[in-house]
Amino acid sequence: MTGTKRDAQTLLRAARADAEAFGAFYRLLERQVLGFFMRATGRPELAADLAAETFARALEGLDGYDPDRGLAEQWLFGIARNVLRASYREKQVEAAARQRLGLPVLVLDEQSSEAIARLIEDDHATLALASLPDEQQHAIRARVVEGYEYAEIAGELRCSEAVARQRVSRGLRNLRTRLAGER
Amino acid sequence: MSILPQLEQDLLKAAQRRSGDAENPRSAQGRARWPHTRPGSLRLALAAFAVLLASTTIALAAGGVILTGAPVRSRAPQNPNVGNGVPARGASLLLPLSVPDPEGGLPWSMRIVNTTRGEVCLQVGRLQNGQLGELGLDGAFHDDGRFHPMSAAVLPTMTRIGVVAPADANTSCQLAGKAVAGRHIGLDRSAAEGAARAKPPRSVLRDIDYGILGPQAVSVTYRSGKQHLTVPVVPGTGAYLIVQRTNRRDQVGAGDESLGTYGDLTPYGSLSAITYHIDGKLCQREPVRPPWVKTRVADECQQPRWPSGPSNTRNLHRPIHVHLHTSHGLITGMDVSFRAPLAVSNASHEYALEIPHLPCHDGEAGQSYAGMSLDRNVKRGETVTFHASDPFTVFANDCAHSSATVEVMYRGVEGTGSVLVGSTTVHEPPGTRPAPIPMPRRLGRLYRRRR
Repeated sequence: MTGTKRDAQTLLRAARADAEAFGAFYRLLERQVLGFFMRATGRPELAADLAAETFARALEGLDGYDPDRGLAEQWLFGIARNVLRASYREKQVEAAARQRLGLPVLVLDEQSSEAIARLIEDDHATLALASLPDEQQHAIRARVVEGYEYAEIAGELRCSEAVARQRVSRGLRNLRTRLAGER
Repeated sequence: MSILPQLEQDLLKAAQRRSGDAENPRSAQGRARWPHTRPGSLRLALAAFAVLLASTTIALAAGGVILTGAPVRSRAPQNPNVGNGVPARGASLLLPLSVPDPEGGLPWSMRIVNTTRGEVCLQVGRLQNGQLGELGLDGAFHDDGRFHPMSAAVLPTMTRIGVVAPADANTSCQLAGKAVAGRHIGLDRSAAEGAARAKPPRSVLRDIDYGILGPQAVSVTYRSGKQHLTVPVVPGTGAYLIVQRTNRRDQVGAGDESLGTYGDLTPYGSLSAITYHIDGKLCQREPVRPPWVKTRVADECQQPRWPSGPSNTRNLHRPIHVHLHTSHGLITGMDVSFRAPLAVSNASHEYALEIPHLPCHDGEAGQSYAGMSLDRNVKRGETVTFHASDPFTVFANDCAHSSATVEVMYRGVEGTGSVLVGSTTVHEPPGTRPAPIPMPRRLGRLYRRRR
């Protein structure tokens, strides 16, 4: 694990001058990022689109990465959360960075779609989350996965902050019960 | 391997552009500008749009970003025991070939498909993300501009051993274990079979030289304009693929294959030399030349070891049954049936019906009946029936015999291992005559007689 972190760090530094290093960085973290978005959205095509925008932003922001402020993965997942948040806010997947870089629209074939879906196939927590009522799912995703503030969640879900807290709390309790039942 | 190879490629290219831009900021500014267009007539605009669509496809393909469309479908239902058969399980291999198109865009590649009938088919197409396919342009796939993946199961229906694939086909089949050097002249740049319009411009057509030369092959040298270029073959299989614009002098629609044994096959098509590694030495073979023409290669390989001729045909003397169909005094067809003494389990052997050549009474050579073969597997002991719908040629050949000998052969498709299953003589029933030949064939016969 340590080796992987060091590798990502090294690759990200090298990517400033070496395009191939960025390709290697992408390959190293592609599955983690796709898995993150797959858990967040439950839809492979959205996960792929969000991952594409995340890596595009990472490529644009290579010069802004400061290794002293965190690991390469942390930096990348920070971008991923921002992309996800902005996409929810705009109700469409952000594509600004890809447009600036001249990246084409990503077309997902069936094989890739299945591969992305399989990334969370054995993820019990995701499966249990999917079995919760919709409002609890949204609240937990917004708070736990995407890191929204309760006030933001309340605004997004059109409810009071107290209700948002309650939905997250009840949702997590239900989740724990279901996961305990599986064991 | 990544899950989204397209994204990986796109990011890599963007990273490369980024590196380039960092070194040369002016180039980035130049690329950002869009070309200005002038308004024109509707027709001009539509024509421009069509050209734009095609060029956009090419350009997108060049960037590795072409959209994926519906897979290429088989032209007809396929049977594992008939014709080429179907792909044998796990016996398809996309070769590590990536040959650039003269116009750019997606490269070309080739797949080897081993079939259930012991054939090897070579599929040629455009390559994207490790998939072989065809492009939706120049009339193919309604010009949708997409990449259409082609699976190993898309095999030709009309091609079989001994029948040459049409030049606009992207797949050819032959017996496994044979060296082959072939050429498609005028294949559409989309790689789609017969996709081009009735009279396509030569700019959208390609000459494809392809082949498998076996493990002894090292490289092939081919003509490209006035140059002779050499490219290595794929180690192990000796596979090669060459893609060029269709030459002005080439006869579009032509194309053929040269078959041989590994290490012996001479160049064909655009090839001017094949380099082999035989008995620890490198040597070259050049196209077959007349004896008085001096060889052009420095280290010529020894003469091929041609296989010995076929042995005497064995006669099994099995009964052959013939049933003539008559209607209103005309012989309209003939059924020839027999019980198969030997099984046919792949395309290397077949049962064939032959009517041997009979000399005319005046000594002039009569026309022999070409016969017909059964292009399918046969079980031992199975009753097999040939249906001949052209009895005219049996009885009324050029010198009007009223009887004919019908032979059933079991033979190797390369002319070896022939066995005469049995034969019988058929007499024209009294008061009948063969039904006339359809007009096109009659004209053909007339033409042959005049020659």
